[in-house]
Amino acid sequence: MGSITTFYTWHGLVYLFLGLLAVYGVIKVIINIIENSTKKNLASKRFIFWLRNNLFFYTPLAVIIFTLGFISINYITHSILVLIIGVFGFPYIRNYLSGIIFKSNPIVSKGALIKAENLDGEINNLMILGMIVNTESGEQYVSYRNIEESGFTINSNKSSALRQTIYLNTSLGKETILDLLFDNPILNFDENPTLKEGTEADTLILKYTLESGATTADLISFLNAHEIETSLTRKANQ
Amino acid sequence: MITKVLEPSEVTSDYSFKNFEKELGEYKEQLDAIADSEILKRFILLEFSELANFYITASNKELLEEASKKKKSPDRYLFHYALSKPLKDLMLLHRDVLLQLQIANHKVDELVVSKEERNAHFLESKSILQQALFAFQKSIEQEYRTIARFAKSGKEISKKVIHHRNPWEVYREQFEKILEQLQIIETSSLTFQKVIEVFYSIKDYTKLSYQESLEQSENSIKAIGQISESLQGINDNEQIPLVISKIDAAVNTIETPGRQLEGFSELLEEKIKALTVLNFPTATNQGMLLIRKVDLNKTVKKWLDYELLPYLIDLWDNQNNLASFYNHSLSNLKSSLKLIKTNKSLAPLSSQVLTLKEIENTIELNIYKQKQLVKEVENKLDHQLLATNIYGSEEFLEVSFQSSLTQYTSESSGLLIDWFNKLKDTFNKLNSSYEKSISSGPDNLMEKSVNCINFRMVKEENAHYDTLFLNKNFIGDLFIVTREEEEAKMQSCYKDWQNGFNKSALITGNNLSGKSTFMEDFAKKNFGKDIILLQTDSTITIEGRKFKTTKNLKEALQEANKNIYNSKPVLVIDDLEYWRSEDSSLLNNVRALVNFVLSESDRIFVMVSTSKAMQKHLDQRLPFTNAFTTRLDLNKTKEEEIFKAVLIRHGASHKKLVNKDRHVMSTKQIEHKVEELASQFDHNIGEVLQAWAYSTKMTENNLVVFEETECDFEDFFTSEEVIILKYVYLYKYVNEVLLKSFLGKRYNLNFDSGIKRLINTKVLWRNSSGNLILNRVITSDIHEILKYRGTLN
Repeated sequence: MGSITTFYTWHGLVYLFLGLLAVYGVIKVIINIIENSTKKNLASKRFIFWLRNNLFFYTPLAVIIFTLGFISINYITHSILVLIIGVFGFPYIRNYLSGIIFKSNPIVSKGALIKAENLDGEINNLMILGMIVNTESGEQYVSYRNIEESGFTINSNKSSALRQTIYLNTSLGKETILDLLFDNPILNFDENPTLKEGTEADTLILKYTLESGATTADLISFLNAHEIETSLTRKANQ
Repeated sequence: MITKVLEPSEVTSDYSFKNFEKELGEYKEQLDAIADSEILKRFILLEFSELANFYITASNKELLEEASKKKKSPDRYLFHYALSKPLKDLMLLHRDVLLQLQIANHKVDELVVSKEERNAHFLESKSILQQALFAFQKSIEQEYRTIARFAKSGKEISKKVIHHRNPWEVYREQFEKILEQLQIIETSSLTFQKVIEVFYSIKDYTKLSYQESLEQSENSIKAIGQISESLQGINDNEQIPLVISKIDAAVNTIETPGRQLEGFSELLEEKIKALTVLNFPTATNQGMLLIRKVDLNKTVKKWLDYELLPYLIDLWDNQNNLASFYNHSLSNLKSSLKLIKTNKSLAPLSSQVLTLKEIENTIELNIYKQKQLVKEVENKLDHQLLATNIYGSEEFLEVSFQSSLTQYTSESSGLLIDWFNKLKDTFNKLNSSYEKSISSGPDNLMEKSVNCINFRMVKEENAHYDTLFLNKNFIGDLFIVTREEEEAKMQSCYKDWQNGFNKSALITGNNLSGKSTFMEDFAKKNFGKDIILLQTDSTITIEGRKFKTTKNLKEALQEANKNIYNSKPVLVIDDLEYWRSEDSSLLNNVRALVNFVLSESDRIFVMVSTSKAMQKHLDQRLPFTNAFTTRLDLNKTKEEEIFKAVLIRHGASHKKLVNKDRHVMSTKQIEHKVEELASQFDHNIGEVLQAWAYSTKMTENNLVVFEETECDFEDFFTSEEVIILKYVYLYKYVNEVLLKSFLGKRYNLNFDSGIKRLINTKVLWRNSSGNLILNRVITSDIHEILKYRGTLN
């Protein structure tokens, strides 16, 4: 019990704060050390990703613990105080929490093309309460809360590969095309290309994932060389 | 023989004091004539106890007379009162002398003292006895004078002791005790003799066992000398087999002694059994005889275990090591000679002679070590394993606290220090690598990587050593380390096939994991000459008929199938990835293979190798893996097998391996290094051997320096380059035309420069057929990078 009662004082609160800060610092340092020193391998990459995610959630957790510590010193006065701050700061807090969930999404990163209601552009900067997106009309500030409510699409992203679709028009059989694509290194070998019959004759819908560094243009050029006509929109060859 | 010293004297019926005096005089005369310690011993036992018994009987008689109230005689005074005390002293002295004579005899038996010393001891003992007897006679005279004085004054001598209680009964008891002690001393002598015999047999047996060891070592050095001579005499390739047969003969003469300890301990146990808990009179203290109780069995066993065996174990270990070193060196020499014979160049002979000299030196050094150990053992046997040490004041066969303790402390504290050092090392490593990566910007990543490749590439001056490690097909059966687990799995598959089951094997593993060697070895062992090694663009001979292959596997398989009539051969396809061309894609070839495997594997045993990544890739398009009944993953090799492979190759080089500071590395250290490399390269045997080759450097004086690689290969690739690397990693080779066919017109935009950069940095090599292949020194790094980038799973 002794250790808990100490938090009922201002001294205890200071120690609590320092402790929480220390844990944060330690996680940061570990990330830094692993990133810079050990040989880059898959395990350490995954570990860093996991730590980063943890750090996102650690911050609000630490704030909550700190607030509880604050309240426990004098719970009547302090809870009224916290309540007042909570009421006035509610939109910001909600925004902040939405931001954490948004940023922990693996497909979101700087430079990704994002599409949402009234929004179409490239993510420029991810901040605490909102992000800046480069749009046609200029740089737009979007709060996380709005994005979360409306949902969003990430069109392309620099580091992680995304599934894309292309429409083919050819007399070649499905298997032949898949055989053709089998050797091509610009396709991601782990995520197989799939072919579906289109609504019209000789039209096929190809879903594929490219390696980063390769572009759809590369693939189109490859397909064209094998006499397969392509279209990025539904109606090919018209 | 036990003499009865406690019998009442029956020589005479005249027990007067006069008679006693006469006996005493005779005794003294006889004593003067004695010239030998053994005779003196017997004399004391027989004659002195006779004399003492006479005294006792006489005194007893007097006591009876006293009881019957007979007249008091001077004899009674003399026997009971006056002379009992001097006689007791005389008896004690005799007892002491007897014990000391016996000790001296035992010491002579154990060669601790010489016979001359014993003689001197005997003379002294005799003279002490003579003096004592003389003094005793003197005291008799004294008493006579006293009696005369009393008689003069008209008094009876009994008046002198009228108020005394007769002390005789107490004296009698003491006298009998002393006589009993004489008997104890005599009896213990016999058991002591037996102990001495057992100790002798232990010594003889131990000496015999180490002499054999020494002889063997001496023989081995002779044999080496002879081989060295005949090696120097070689001036023709044809003479090599002669030397080889000599080496074989020499190897046969020396046997590895194996586990000597068990046999030795068992035989010793047998001998020690005769020893039990014994009581030995070891010294006297005034009237008392000190008897030492010793559990000889336990003490001797303990002493042997703690004081003698450690040395012997060292000796045997050394001998075992020496024998295996000898065998190993000779078989290495044999394989080198075979190599020389096949190469038809006698040039490396001189270095072999040099190596033999070194081997000779090593053996000599070890013989010297063995001799030192033997000296130590002899010293212990001669000075510590002595039964007569029981007479000394120190603990008998003491096991020093130190010797049982040092072992413990050296083990336990060593562990702690070891741990501490490990922790320190890890911290330092982390620290330095952190600093390094902080200080190096991305700009010099490429430079660093190029340096790394340069460092790892084969250097001309190391060629002799490196080829042992890098050459894939140099090898020969001597260098193959069997992978037991995998081999067993293949054998059971092969057995099923022989019993009529359709069986086929898929061998997977990363580059350099030993797939080809494994398949070749297995095929040779089980199929002899019935091996069809299917390769692209080559000529294959089956049952005398020849046909040419292209890159079309379907055709090749059809041809093979057509030509196999009488035999049940093994069909080996190494690196499936090479079977592709514009006309027949890899997929089609693999389909043909799968069909072939499913239909023909009852009469043809098919073994196919490919990489794990390719296996996975193929499985996405067709049921590739399922076509094979047995699948072996050779990626990881056991640590001890890798270690063995390194040792065999290093052994064949006949060079000394030293570390950075030019200290010779022990086998343990080498093992440690191999362990490190193994974990670094994920237990890929080929990678470890390669890393071993580029971590070592030859120097002029027949030394090989092991220096850890300071270079890291860094990821400096663009995304386009990663795509190219992925293709090369999976498909083994690429060329510009091929790449162009995948990218069409867009090839020139990004990929052309990428491929040139890869060639310029020597990440890719152009082979003789114009294809680009991955530089083998960085395969594992590329694999890691591709995995890190998420391109390969």
